[in-house]
Amino acid sequence: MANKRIELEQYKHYVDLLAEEPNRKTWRKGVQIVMIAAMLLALAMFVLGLMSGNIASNPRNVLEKPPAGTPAAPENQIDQQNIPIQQDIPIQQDIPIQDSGQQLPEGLTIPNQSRATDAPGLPRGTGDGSLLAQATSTVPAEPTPAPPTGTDVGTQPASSAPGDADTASKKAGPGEVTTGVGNLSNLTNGAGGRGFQVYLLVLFVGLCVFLYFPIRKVRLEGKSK
Amino acid sequence: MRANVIVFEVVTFVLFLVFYQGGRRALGRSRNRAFLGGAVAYSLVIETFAVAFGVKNFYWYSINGYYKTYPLGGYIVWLGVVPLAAALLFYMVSMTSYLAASTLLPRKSTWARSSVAGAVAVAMYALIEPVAVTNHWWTWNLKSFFVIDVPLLALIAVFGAVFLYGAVFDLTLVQYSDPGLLKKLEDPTIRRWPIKSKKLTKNLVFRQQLEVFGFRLAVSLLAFAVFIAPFMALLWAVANRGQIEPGW
Repeated sequence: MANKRIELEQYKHYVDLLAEEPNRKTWRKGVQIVMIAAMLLALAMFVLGLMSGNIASNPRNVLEKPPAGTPAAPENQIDQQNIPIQQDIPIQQDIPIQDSGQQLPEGLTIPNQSRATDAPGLPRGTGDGSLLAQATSTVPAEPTPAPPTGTDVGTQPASSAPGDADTASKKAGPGEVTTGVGNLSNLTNGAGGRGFQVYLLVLFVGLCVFLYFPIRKVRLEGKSK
Repeated sequence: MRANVIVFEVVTFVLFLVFYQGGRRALGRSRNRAFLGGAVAYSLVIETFAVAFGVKNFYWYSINGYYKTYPLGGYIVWLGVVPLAAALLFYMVSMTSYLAASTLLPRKSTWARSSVAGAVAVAMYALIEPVAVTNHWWTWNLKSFFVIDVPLLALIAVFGAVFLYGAVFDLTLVQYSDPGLLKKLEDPTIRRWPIKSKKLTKNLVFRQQLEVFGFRLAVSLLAFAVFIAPFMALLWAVANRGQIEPGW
């Protein structure tokens, strides 16, 4: 009786395995799909990394805050409430303002333009209102931010890296900004400005080569049968 | 176009579907589900601890004015304080590593295969991490030794997590083995309740095997903590970047 029970249990286990264990051909297909998907993941990261090159070149990017009150909208979508200069234009003409310093039409002046340019480091759109008050109250205590190296409006520093005000009290320990091999921008700006791209490319190619070996192995196994 | 967090999340979700299909074929439907559930739970526990202790956060897109553009802090789906995309990324990386190691080294021991899997995962995260920290998909806040703004500890943790997770999965749901140390630990605990059976793992039904898998994952999380603690202390001692003060 006991033997019969063991036999039945083993049979049950066998049935479980039969239901769950994929056959070898299906297994080979699955391995190929996963490896190709992993290559696609690596490719996606490679492409996203290339797109981030200009941001990575900023040495303080990793510790930067997002700009206060300036959502990272696409460049052609500027919040109208954050453009105080538009109210002072004598003629009711829409002026497309872009972050790349587009020239105004000839003969058209903006009365309060100097206010925005007088305060270095202020984000665009903080000429009036509470944002200006907040920004000017903090600007004197802070060093001039690092010059922007990227073209992305969403990464312009609204203030300096966190904790700059009390750096004096922290001189004993490591700072909050990495230097040397620790800093990504050193790699990015190295090798003629292509260091980060080279790093990504080497890793991407290396991973693809490595992930090709399992594909090759299961293909050979499939052919041999 | 910018590689912001939404781009990362969409890429992750789309690729996850492909990985799931591949994993279902390679491991079988139930075992792939177990692998997915285990990987998500495993990474969720580790990442939640990391967020809770201020080592890491996913909130860059939810501070200052960014919430206007990224209303949910950038990520759409959250599991507590960790975005689902981060957990799915761990599933995809660990699945790739495990299958690559199993395919290339079928005759080697579980530990050798898991070591190779851990190394493959480190290579994959070495590609992902710099892109992630550049685009603020997540932010490292710990005091540690950083290489290209990625803490060395993160890569060591990836190795440990993938190594342990792969080993537990392989031992429990593929080899159905009962190592002596684990057997001693399981007999007075989980084998007494809820499994109520001291049979070998290979003789248990799949539901019970899943329970054993869950128990071993919990044990491996403790092993992970023991593994990572000395590295954390060592890298803290030779840190080249301090901790960012909370509240930014």
